[in-house]
Amino acid sequence: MLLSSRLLILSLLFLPHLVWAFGEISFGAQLGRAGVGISNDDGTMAYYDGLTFQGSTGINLVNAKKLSTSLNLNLNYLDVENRASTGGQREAGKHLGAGADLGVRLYRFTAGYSYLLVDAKHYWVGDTNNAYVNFQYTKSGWYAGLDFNIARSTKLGLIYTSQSASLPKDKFLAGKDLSMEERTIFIRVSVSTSETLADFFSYIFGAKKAGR
Amino acid sequence: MRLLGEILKKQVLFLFGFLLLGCSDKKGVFLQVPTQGSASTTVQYIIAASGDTNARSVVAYSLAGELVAVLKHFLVDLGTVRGLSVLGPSEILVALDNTDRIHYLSWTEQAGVETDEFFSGLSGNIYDIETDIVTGHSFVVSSNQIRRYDADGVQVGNPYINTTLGSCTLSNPRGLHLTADGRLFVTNHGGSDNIHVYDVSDPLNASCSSTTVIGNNPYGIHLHSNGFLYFVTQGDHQVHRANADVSGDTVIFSADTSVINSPVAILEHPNGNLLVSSSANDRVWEMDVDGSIVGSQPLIIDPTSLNIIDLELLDVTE
Repeated sequence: MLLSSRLLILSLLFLPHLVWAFGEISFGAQLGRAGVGISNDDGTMAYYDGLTFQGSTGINLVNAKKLSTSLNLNLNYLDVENRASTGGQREAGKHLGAGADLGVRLYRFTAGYSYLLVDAKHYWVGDTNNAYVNFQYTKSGWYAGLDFNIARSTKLGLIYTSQSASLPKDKFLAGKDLSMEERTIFIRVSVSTSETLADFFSYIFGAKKAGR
Repeated sequence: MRLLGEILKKQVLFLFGFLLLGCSDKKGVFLQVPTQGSASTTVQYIIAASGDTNARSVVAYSLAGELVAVLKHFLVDLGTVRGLSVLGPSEILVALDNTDRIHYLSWTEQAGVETDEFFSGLSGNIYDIETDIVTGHSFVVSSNQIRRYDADGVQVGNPYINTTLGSCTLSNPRGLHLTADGRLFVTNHGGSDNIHVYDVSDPLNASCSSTTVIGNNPYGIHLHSNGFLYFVTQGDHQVHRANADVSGDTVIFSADTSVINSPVAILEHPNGNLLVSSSANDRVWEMDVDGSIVGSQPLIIDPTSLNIIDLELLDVTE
C-alpha cells in the first residue's frame, strides 16, 4: 500500500516532465452534424439540427505501437436551428466552448471523455417573439469512433459523441435547470507532428532542445 | 487477424446503431422564451417614431396606449425620425434623415435610456430600417436604394440593393418588413406603386423574388402571425390584407378619413390585433384582423407623438 502510494506520488511528480520530454504534439480539426434536444420547464422538448466545428491540440501521454492515449485541448463551435422554425418564426443557437478531453486509441478504435465550458446565445426572431438569451454551461460526455491512417502521420476518423448538460434555470426563468442532450457525428482529420512540447517551445523561443 | 476483423465489424455495427439514434427526426417545439411566463422580468412596450419636425421623438407607450416615456428627441442634435427596428431586448435602432444616420437606443429600468450614434455615412432620403437580430445586420432605405450594414455598422455591398435589381425597381421606397427566413418586403411609394419581395438571406447577393403592382402609395407593411400580409396605402387611406406572397389583395378598411387619414405605419399588437398610425391626425388606432376598429377612441393620441411614421414592440428589462 505504502509502495503503491509512493509510486503514485512519484509518477505524478514526474509525469509533467515525461510529457514535456516525450509527449508528442498533434493537431486536429473536425466537422460534424449535431442533433440537440433541450427540455422545456413544462416537459416539452425543443429539437435542433446544426453544424459543429472543433479544433484541437493534443499531447500523447502514452504512445505504444497499437495503443496510445492523449490529452487534448479543444475549441468547439456549435450552430443550431430549431426544427420547429418556420418562415414566420425561428429560433437559433450559437454555442462556443473551450475544454479538454482524454482519449484512448487501440488499433483503429478510439474513445474518450470530454469536458467543455460553453458560452451560448439563443435567439428567437419572427412575428411572435424577438428575444435572445445569453447563458453559460458545462457540457461533458463520451466519444467513440474509428481512426484510419491516410498518410504517415495523418489520420482520418469518424467519431460519434454523446454529451449532456444542464442549462441554468435562472436564465430561462424556469423552475428547474433545463437538461440538454447533444449527439454529433464528426469527420476528423488529425496530424501528429512527432515533435514534443520541449521541441515545440524550443522552436518558438529559439532555445536549445531539452536533452533527448 | 480474424478476431480483429470480428471486433472491427462489431465496432462498425455499434457505431451505426448510435448514428441512427442520433439522426432522429422529431420536430418538437421552441425553447421557452425567457420573457414569457409568470416569472418574466421584462415588460413589452409600443415604441412610436414621431416623424414631425416639431417633435422628432421616440416615445414609449404601454400596450394599453398610455404614455410611459419620451425616450429621446432629436430637436437639438437634429434628425427627422423615419424608422425604428428592434436590435434585441431593450435595444432599438432609429433611422434619421437630415442629418442622415442611425442612432442606437437602449432602455432598461436599471440604467434608464442610453443613446449613441450607431453608424453614419448614409446619404439621400432615409426612411425605414429593419434589423435581423440573429446576425445584427440592418437594412435601411436610402433614396432609391436599400443599404445593408453589419452588426459593427460596416456597409455590406455598395449598395446591397440598387435601384434596379432583376424585375424590382425601387421608386421612393418607404416601408420595410424583414421575415425570419430572409425575405425583405419593400413598399414602393412612387412609380407604379409596388410591393417588392427580395431574398436577402445571402449577405453577398440580394435577389428580387417578386414584384406586385398594388394599392395607392403603399407605405407601412407587416407580416402578421396569422400568415397574412397587412399594409397601408397612404394615397387612399386604406388598410389591406394579402397572402404572404402578396397575392389576393383585399381592402379591409377603406376611406374614413375622420378615423384613419394618411396611414403610414402598421404593426401587430401582442393580442393579435393591428395597430395603424394615422399620420395626418397624429393617432394610432387598434383594429382587428378583419379591419374593424376596436373601441371608440384611438389607442394612442398624444402631443409628444406627431405624424407617427413607424411603430415597434420592444421587450424592456425591468
